[in-house]
Amino acid sequence: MKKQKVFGMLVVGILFLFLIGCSETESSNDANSQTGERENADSSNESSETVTLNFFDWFDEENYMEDVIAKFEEANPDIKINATFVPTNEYEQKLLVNMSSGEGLDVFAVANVGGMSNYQSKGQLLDISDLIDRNELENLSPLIEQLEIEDGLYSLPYRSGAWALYYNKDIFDEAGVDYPDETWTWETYEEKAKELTMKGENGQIWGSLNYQPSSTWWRVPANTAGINNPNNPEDLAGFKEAAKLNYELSYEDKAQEPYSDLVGEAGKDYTGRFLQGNHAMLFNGEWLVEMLNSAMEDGSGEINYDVAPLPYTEGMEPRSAGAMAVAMVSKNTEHPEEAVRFLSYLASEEAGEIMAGHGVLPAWQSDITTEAFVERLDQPENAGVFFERPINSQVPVDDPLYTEGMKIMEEEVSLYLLQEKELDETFNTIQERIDSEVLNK
Amino acid sequence: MKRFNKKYLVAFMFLLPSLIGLSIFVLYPILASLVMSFTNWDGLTPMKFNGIENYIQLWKDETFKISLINNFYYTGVSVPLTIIFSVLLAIMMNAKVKGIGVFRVLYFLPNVTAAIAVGVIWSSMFTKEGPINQVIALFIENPPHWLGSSLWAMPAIIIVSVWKGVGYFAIILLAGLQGIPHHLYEAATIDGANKWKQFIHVTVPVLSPVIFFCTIMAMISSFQVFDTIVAMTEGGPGRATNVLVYHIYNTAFLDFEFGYASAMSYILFIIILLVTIIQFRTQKRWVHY
Repeated sequence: MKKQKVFGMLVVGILFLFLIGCSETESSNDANSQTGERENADSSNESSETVTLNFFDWFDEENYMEDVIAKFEEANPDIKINATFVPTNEYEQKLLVNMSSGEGLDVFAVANVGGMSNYQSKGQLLDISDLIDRNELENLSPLIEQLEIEDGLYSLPYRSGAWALYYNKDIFDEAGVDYPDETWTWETYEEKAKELTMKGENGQIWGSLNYQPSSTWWRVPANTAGINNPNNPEDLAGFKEAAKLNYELSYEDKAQEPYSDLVGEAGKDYTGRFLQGNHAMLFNGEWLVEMLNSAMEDGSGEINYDVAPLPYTEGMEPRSAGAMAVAMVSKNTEHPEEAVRFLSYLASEEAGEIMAGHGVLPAWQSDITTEAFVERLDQPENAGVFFERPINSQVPVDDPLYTEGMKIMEEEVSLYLLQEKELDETFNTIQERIDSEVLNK
Repeated sequence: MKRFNKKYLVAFMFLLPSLIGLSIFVLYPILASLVMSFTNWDGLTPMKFNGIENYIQLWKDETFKISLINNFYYTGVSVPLTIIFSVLLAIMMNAKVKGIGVFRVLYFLPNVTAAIAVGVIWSSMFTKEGPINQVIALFIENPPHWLGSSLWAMPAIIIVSVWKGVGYFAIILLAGLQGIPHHLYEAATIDGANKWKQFIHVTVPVLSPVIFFCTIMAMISSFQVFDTIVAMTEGGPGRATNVLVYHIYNTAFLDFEFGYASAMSYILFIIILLVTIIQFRTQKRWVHY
């Protein structure tokens, strides 16, 4: 009897320890996410009115966001920003952990609106439509309009990606082709790419630079026509045209390297390939300027390049494409007023000027931000083109299932671009898979 | 009786720390994911119990089926190859040659190298005009595109896995080989058995328990292949190298469908369990203790 009792107590004891163990792991998680709040407590000793906001962002943004935050804190002594920069590939998981604990997260940013609509659909975001000062953000109103979902506004844009046409001037000169300009359509691009493909002194010169087949950058020509969502059958037809264009450039015009050559190491580094000077043109975002210039500073190649407006779709208004980065406020924040103040600052002209000074395109487009972006650059000469055209969002604002649809399209189109499947077959499969795996799940 | 139980209790107390560790870090996650597999949890919205819906959904999930087939393909080819090459390598390593220790270390090295690094290096070896194809081009005209081809991507992954796994199993098998009593070979020689017959009738049967252990271990890890896939193909081209764990990872940490991913991992668990049971059942036919 006694033995049984002891054993029973032991079992209960273990279970008890087990429970403590569990609750401890949970509370230590909380402690991690609450470090900010603790700092809050500390700093509130200094001045009783200081509010600390926990701001989450991904790694790549650290260098300019730190300046932006410093400027903000200077102007708002009552708010302290506790910023955490998370490695890009862990970022979404980190956000999820903080959201599920419901604490330690006030303001955060995502690289495209797809993430925003996903969090909104899960009820994690604060509706800021009545909290922001629309007059102050007048400059952004066209973008803000795009961001409104279900009669609410859950985010503000602070960065706007913009694609442009990068070209190697020397190759154009050698081939005697005029530099690209604002009249170029995608047909012009294809035609000129053919003309520019030739045997050069240092081997093959390609008219156009191709990406690896598992990327989805072949879709950009469709984006300029306002097409962005594979879950929408009409858009899918537009993507089909874009895939076809890229296929033709590789296999019919032979103006760019075939995809199978780019699988593995060689396909990943487009900056390095462009710097080798064997590619006349490529389309890419504004971030490439910084990448090219710093790679050249490091001595990995030297080319004479410039940018021109992204070719547009024939018969449509000339527009560029880009993915807006947005910031939002967690619905669990204890300081909505302060959080919105910081959010509005991120979107403001002053913050935009700082970002532009780091080679990043701010959402706020004005002479001041344009100048900050353009002036610091020796190359490209026409960096202003990033600011010239209205930008189509590459990501739909109101579809939380966008990423899943894109993944299917990426998988299937890569087979087409590797010449394993026919075009029609590919897009029929995409439609079927989206119907069964995304829409009717 | 009483004394025995007291001893038992003391032993139990000594085991307690590790038992607690086991419950928190192993048992709890296992049970939690079992519970989760019957919910539609996405990490954010409240967990909702949805019965066996996830498991029903799995049978309709084309990508899951493809990843399952790919995984069986991978296991079916890579495990026998790994074992065959490990046995051969172990026999070579058993040779009494000067500097054999160096070779043993060299063959073991791939095993201690990070899979991601291995994958990146091999990816560049498999490029269209990479070193592998330059060698192949000496013999045939159109060498395969390896990672750029649905047909050849999986063989490429298998080659890398075999290359990486062989050293480890060879060391285990080497220990087994060195435990074979010499008199068995002497007896066989007297009976007139040549080297090949000695290998088939002495080495393999005596080594069979070790081979059996290696097969089980290789099989289990082959169902969990992940990092090589991430580093080399990301499941592509298309879905040609999408395997179970890779699909589970994507479902859980990219789509954030934790409930559904848990259901998949339980199916994976059942598959590994079944295959292991089958192996234990059939071992009587070829394993000699």
